Amino acid sequence: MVTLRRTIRDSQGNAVQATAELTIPTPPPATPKLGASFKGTENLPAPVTSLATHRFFFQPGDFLSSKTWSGQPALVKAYGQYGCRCFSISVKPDSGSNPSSTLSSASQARLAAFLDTAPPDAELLLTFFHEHDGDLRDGSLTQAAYDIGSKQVADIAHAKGHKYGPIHNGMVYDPARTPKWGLWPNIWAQNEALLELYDFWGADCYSDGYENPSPRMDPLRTYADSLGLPLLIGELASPIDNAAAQATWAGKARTWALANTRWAHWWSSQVNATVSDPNPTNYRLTDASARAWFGLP
Amino acid sequence: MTGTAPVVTQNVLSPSTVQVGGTGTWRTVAQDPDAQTETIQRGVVDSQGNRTVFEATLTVSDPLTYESPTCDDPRVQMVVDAGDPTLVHITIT
Repeated sequence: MVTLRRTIRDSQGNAVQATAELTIPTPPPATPKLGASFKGTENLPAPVTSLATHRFFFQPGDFLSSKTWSGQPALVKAYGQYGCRCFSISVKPDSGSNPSSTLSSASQARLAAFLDTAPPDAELLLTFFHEHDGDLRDGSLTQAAYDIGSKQVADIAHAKGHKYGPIHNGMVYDPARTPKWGLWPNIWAQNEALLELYDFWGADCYSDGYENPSPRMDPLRTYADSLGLPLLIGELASPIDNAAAQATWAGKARTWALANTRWAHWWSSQVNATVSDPNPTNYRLTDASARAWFGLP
Repeated sequence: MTGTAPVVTQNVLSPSTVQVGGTGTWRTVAQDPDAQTETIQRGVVDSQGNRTVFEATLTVSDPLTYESPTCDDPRVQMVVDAGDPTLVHITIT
């Protein structure tokens, strides 16, 4: 957002200044990168033979030990089998159960060493603690720890010539609103780290009800524009429950992502079952939804 | 310096979002709060001595000067309308 100013004076020199706020949206690139995440033990549906960008995340405590690129099957498969050269990689703190946990000096050194093992032609987009809004809300993460961890990872990313940005929860909770859950920019804003660290702004956003991506997801673009940053979607998907609806939604999501994002990833996985959620939603791409998302014949 | 500053009575940016390559307008209108309203009268008498008084209202105001608009973003080009100093044409380059 930019500010326009104009001064109006009378003949005695008394003056008033008028201002107006003008939004200039950040134009999306001509060819946004659309990609997907997948487990290293799995393949994407057969119609998918190449991938422009891949989403990958590390778990809390992963950098308590050394990590290498070649030790991550999903990264190796995305780069080698699908020819991917762009990777959105997120890192969690040493202890996910400690609200004030960040990365120790040793863990930071191991993260830097991991980045050194990446192929030299790989474009890396780093993130600290993706979907942190929910953790801030339930107290499992403090804002102070998020600020520190963001700077730790951003500094390492920038030192290695890579990009850094956050990946928020798209759906956040605002007790002052009705409904309380929604895509609320004021909540994203209060959960930001130092904005100067960001090269992009990101969020994850699912559509369990096959809602039309526009206007539902438009606030993501508007908010990223307000920061002057390109939009990254870390995860988006609709469930496989209704395969025809999923494929239709995938086509609409492609149209929206091409018009509004620079990077967008379909989350092609099923969350592991837990005691509290024995039948988790399956977001895997089918042949039909993969064709729709990637624009394949 | 005497009197009080002008007051902005209209400030409309349309549209408030402009894509690169797009255009918009910004109208800002101000008034002089020191302006005074005077009533002027003039009597007209016919040959029979009948008199009619005509009245008119006159506003005495400072002339206002609209300075050139400014913006820190070099993509924003602003040109004041040649016939209307309150109107600014905006182009985003």
